[in-house]
Amino acid sequence: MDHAQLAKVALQAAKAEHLEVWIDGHDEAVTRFSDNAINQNVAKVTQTVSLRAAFGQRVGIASTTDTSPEGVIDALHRAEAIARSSAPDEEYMPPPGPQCYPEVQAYDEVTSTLPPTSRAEAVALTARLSAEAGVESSGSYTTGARRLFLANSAGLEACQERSFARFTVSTSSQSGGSGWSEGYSHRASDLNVETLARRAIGKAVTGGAPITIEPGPMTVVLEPAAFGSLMCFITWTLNAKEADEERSAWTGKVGEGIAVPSLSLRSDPLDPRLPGDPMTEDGLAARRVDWIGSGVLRQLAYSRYWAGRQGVEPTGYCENIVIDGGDGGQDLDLIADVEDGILVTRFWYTNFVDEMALSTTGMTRGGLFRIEKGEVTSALTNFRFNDSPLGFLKRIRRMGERVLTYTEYPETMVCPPAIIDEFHFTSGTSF
Amino acid sequence: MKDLARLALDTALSRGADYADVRLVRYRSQNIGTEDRRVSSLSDTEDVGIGVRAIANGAWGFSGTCDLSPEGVQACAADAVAIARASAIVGQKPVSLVPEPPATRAFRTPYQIDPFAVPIEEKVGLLLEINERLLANRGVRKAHGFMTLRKADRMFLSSEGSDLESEVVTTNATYSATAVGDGDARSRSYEPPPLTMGYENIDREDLLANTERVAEEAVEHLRAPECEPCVTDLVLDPVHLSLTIHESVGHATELDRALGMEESLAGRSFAVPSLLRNLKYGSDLVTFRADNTLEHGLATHGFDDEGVAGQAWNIVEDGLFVGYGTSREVAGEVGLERSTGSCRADHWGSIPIVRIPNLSLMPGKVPCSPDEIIADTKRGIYIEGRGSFSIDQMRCNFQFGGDAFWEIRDGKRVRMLKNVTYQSMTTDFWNSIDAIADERFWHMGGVLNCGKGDPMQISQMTHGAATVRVRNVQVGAAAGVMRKSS
Repeated sequence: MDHAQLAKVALQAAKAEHLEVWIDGHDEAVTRFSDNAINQNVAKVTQTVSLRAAFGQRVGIASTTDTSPEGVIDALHRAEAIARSSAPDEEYMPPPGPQCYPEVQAYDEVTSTLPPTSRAEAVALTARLSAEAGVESSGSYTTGARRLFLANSAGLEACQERSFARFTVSTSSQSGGSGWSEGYSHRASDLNVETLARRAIGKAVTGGAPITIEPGPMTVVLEPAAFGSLMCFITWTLNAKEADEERSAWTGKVGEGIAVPSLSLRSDPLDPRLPGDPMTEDGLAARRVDWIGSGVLRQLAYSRYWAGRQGVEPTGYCENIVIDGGDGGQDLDLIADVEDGILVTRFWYTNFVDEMALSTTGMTRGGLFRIEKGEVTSALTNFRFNDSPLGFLKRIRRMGERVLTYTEYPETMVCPPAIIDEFHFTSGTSF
Repeated sequence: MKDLARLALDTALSRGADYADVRLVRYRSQNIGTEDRRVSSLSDTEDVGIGVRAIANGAWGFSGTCDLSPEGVQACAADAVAIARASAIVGQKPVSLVPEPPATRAFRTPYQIDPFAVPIEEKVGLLLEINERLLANRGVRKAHGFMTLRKADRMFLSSEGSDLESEVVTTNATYSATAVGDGDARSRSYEPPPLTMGYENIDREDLLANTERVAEEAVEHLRAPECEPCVTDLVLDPVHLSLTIHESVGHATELDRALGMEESLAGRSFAVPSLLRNLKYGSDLVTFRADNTLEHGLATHGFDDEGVAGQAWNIVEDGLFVGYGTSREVAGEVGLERSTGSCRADHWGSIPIVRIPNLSLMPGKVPCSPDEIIADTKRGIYIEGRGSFSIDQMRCNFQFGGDAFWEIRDGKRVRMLKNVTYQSMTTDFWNSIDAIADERFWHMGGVLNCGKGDPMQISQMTHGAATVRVRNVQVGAAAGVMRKSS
């Protein structure tokens, strides 16, 4: 029974006033390695049917991995029973009718079915290059696909499919140096494993044994993964309801300058480097939204309910992020611009300290380097930072060429590297 | 269902596996969220599937599927063996497992009330009544409640002859109040321990009895002064310590991390095997005990996901680093003849990995109460609950916040503070403990959302502790930066 037929079984049997049926198929395979050898190799196939039933404003959600008609009917009965027993949700919005979705090409059959031998060969190449350079490498190679089908009682029927491939490699040298690189695409053929491996290996052997310097405010060159991780603290917090209820750092800030004029940040499902999902979580058509334009906060994120209450258009979440502002220079060009500073490959375990001030903390990881007179001169032991985008976005000196980046969380975005002055490192660690 | 598990095991062996095990697991969960006077989320999930782990040509393969037809199960088992053969392409040391005697038995969480037999109206009604009481305080502008109820029915078969079954039930309810005003918003939470128990762990009277205090403290938090950067003594409550223990001791003493196997995601550990019995991890007062037999512990499952029975052992003993959490694959690397039984998966579709056990700071041996510790502290900060957290990938440099903070002056809690963070290095911190309250004040906290692995897996474990005092800790660096920047 195909997805449309399965959804029809639920829609025809429903007693609820509204019903939404999501069928989520997810195939994923991950080959993981450490110390130049495969230590984990897994595959998983899941298919989940979720049903949201509503009687008036009373709502219940049930899901099941039993995709037989009987399993789906059982889940429908659970959803309806929960909805009948629940209290009203004043923010519930009835499901939308048929939509006109943007055409997005994000699926590649080869990537979705890549065999374990292909991933193992990529690891074998990385292990050989690492061993030749005298470094240890660890990482993972992930491939798979996700297929989402949505049907509802308002007549909407839609599907989207996406494949994914991610190769990540961390390296460490005998003298204590470390490196990291990562590639992501919806096509495995876009990943140049050798280039990624050589980049991580090169970092581990650059600058010799790490030396320790005192933390403090410093000029930094943040590679795209590092800058992107920090930008997540903006994209996660642009909730209009929280701002309107004065529980957010963004309260009263729409229309204010929050960054250097060269910085813009938008959601764009049609960007060819990062093809997005054509539909939002509630089934609406995804669209371009400009959140920050020329350094000014332009837009907060509105759910359908909050948008209706405030008399504006819903936006969907702040995702599929493209950050503009660079002048085309690559990491090395930015380094040449710095007289005395630090090159940060990426951050690790970043977290909010105070959400009202957007203050955040985290550690450097994957290679930290001293820059002197426009050149990398030595590897450094790692730092902890404490800083806020509300401060450092106004201290951006220059941004470089945008690249597709997979951040710590993981969020994919198109993000440049950036030079930031007076970035606050507050303590160091032992490696 | 056992026929399907047996079919998977037989298929893996017939395809050439030297070792195989099979887990067939059915999960049921309900999650209920409330925001002010509305039900913001209410879901009921059933999830059933099978995971097959195989060793072939000396390497691991794993495959999982929710297709429980005989054909689907056979394909899954065959896939696990094919993946193992692909792993062997990259030459490596053959996987070797320390012995575990085959067993046939069943484990069941001791519980009185099946959480899924309790009417939805009762659960929703409790959370909405809590919110109503929090909002009765005019300073509180936002109330959130949350309840999670979980059951896992697991079957485990191995090619060595183990035939095990378990039923684990986990329950928890929490809430928070947020006060808003003067361009700021501050919260206060109430976090009773998540436990492997039935609905009797959702203590209605206790939850309601704390609403007035929590609402008042949220308002006081909003009006509290900022923390000034300084070096001072800290007095830390058990709920707060559950996260400090988790990050700086639990993860640091997972043997797979110490051997570098988690390098690419969660990271390594400074606590490498050469430091076993050679590292002063904490002061003489500090003993960390792992116990996967702890009644109502979140990692008390009878046996782990490679069939090793739950055990108790010391990780740190009177300050000395003495042990690790292990799997059967890594235990032999530190000379253990049996795994400690700390290898778990978060799902039928996930491969078991080394996970933190129930890991607790043992109570002080001398009679001592939290009030006596505070009375004996001239200047310091008392911290309750959990807040911001971050630690480096070797588990050395950490920074923690909390849920609520009080300044201690001349042995008394004098006023609340806000934006308190402290930063230290793991062994410096635990060696600076000079007081631990006794067993009367020992409390089980826990973590329901521990992330590790690639693909990421989410696990749960208990961390018990009694209130402690830590001398001379750096406080307020984060707030200091914000003050300088503004």
